[in-house]
Amino acid sequence: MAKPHHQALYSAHLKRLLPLLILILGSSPLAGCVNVRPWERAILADPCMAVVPDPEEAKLEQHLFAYREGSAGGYGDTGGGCGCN
Amino acid sequence: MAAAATRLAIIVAALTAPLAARADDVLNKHRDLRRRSGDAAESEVAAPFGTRVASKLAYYTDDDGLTVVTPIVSVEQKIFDTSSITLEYDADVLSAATVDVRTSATDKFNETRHGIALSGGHKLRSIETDLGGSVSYSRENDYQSVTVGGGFSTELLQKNVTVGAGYSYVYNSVGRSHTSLDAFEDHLDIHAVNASFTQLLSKRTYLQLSGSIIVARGYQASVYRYVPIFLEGTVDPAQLSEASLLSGAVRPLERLAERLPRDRLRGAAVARLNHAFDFGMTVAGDYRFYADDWAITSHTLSVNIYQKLPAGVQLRLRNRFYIQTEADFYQVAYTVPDAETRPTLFTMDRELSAFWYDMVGVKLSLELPVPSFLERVVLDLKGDLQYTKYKDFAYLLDRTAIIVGGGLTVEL
Repeated sequence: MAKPHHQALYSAHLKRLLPLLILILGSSPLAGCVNVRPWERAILADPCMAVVPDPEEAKLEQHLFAYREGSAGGYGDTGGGCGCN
Repeated sequence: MAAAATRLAIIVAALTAPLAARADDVLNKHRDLRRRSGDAAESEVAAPFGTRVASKLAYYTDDDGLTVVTPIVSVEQKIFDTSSITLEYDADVLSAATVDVRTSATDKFNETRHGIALSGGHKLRSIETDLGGSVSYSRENDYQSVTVGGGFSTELLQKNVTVGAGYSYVYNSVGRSHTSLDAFEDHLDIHAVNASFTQLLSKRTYLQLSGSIIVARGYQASVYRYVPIFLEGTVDPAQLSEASLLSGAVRPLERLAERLPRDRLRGAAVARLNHAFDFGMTVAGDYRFYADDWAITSHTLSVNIYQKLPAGVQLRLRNRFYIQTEADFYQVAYTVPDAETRPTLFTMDRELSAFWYDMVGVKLSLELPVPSFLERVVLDLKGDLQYTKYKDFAYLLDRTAIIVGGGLTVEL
């Protein structure tokens, strides 16, 4: 027989996300601690420092991960958009 | 005051997200990091009508009988240095004789998916905010999908902090190949909200925290996946395998089309840290935690190391490790006490079982010498090796995949 399936919107597993969400929202105290001046940002402007250095490669890979993982989200993806399940 | 304003902006970004999603995708295409990086970077992208054309081709093959060729072509046109528009085409040319196909005793199948996407972005310089939006359409013989999305990112505190948020909606129409829509048609709606917070930590380091909430409602199973249902006492899960099923050594009571819950709430949070060393090396690492109300939790750890080499060559080495738990309704073998009883939910999807994989890869990018009318031409080649180990999926114990690809990016 199938194990009990609890489909409450805020299941215990989902609640595990809470600390990380609090971390995201609570990390704003970092803001203002550091001031990198415009003329000090040449290294940060290097393409390989970008969040997504190669958008086309990233799109292909998110597609691959979408049908090779039971997870979705976090990288701007939605976990849908094709019948590759 | 500034800190309070930032906190408020982040909370608003995370909770409201009235604009659309794929914000990272859209806004990254507009080189938000370069813009965020200040005046020096802005002068680097100051060409008012720049065009970027990128084409990639990836080839995936694994020892489970799946081969996928994926081309993608993208054309981005910048307009007045404040706006841009991108048109993109991609496809999957797929050939499958996977365990799903083999255990269903059906033939290998070939299928092609075509996708097209249009996205645009605009920078409001007066308030240091990027707006982005996109629409895409994807079609294959049994599945159609439309995605609309949009988002924003805004720079705060002398551009040391960037917050962004987005929303996207995906409408999926699910059919069955060679079957009229009257016989089978269903739908899947997906709503996704993303939010991100990026903080410069030094002139060489930044931290990004991001999160997503995804709500999916509708048909989420595979119409081609049939799950064997056994009478209690007639099967030992330890003896169950593809061979025992196909040979008739184990005999199911019947095989039923996979049935999954129609609702799914998914959440993910990512912490990313990028640091550039002074000897031409950049290390980009991220960790993702994921959980959903099907009881799947996962951890993903990814590290990319970039090293600049002489003659315009850049080397990337990377590793991605992923591990997940099983869905709460997943079972190795579904058994019933009598011939009339059926389980409520049942699946044979190995991606809903417990497993882990590790992927290692190498990529070489070469900046080619160009004539004066071209800004930049980059050729890249890559190869990845992925090994997956399933904990309790009886029909496939492990899988090894190879992904190779290459691409050419031209900026003019």
